[in-house]
Amino acid sequence: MTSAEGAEEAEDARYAPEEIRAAVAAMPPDEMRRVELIVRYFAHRSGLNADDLRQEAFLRVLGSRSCRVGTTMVEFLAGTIQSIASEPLRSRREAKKAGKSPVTLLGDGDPAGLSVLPADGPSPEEAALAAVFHARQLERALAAVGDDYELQLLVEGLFDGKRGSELEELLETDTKGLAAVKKKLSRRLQARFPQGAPL
Amino acid sequence: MNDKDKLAALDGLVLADILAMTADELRQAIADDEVEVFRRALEAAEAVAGKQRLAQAKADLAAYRTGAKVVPMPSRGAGSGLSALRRRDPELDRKLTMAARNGKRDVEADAAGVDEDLAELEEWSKDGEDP
Repeated sequence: MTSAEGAEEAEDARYAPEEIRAAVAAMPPDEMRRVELIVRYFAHRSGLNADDLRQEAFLRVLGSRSCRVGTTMVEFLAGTIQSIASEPLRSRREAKKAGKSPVTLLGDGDPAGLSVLPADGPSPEEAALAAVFHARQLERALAAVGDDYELQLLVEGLFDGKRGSELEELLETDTKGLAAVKKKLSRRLQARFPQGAPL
Repeated sequence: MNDKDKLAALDGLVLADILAMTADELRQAIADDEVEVFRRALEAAEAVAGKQRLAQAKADLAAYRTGAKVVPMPSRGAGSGLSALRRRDPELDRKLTMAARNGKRDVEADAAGVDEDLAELEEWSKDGEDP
């Protein structure tokens, strides 16, 4: 095996399911708090309440999802939560119409039939719906900015793809000042839907 | 940048903030009893995930049993090819017996292989092929 192949293999190494279960169960309380905040932030977008989104994320992490070695459990759960929140909304609605739940109900005796979301990519119709969905979500998020000029500038810079020193320049501030404005925006966005809200 | 990417940019900012929060900030944001709710939900999910794994294992086993192709092994008893050959050919039988007595265990160890070869020969004969 060449060193490049070895590096590639190391990069692709995954935790065993037992390792994931043990690591998730051993998460310290403050890490649980981080995950809870992430759940609450994404809940409104997923169309699920925070309890359901959290539960679905747990089930995927403890069940089917694989995790690259070196990833922390908070990062792993964050990625899973984001993934659920970005799944096609239409699929969930159709599942609901069909009488299926988009999440696994605890203790409902249906241990195998969880996946109600299609494995295929979105159809053109779904893509169009997703565009409307994203526009609406963005509008809601930007409402958190309000008429705060500093935040408006930061958002504008972010949407222009600016980073670090470019943002500092735009906001006419230093690293510490930029961090403070970012934190302000983050907290505003998180406070927008503190417990998640159905769409 | 489209709306999806713009949302992703905001998400990235929020995630970075949450991951960088201090212990004090985290404890202020999420109370102890809410951590307990989180922990209980995790335990409940682990129980469900365990049931799912068990159900999956059972389903896999059932599928394996249904789809498994059972190939019967030729019997090594009196009716097997090698035994029949030995009965028909006393000279061969004597040589094999002598070989076994002299510690040539390979003969016995190869008996199954000989049986297989004989079975294959038989198949060829049935198909009219020339081995």
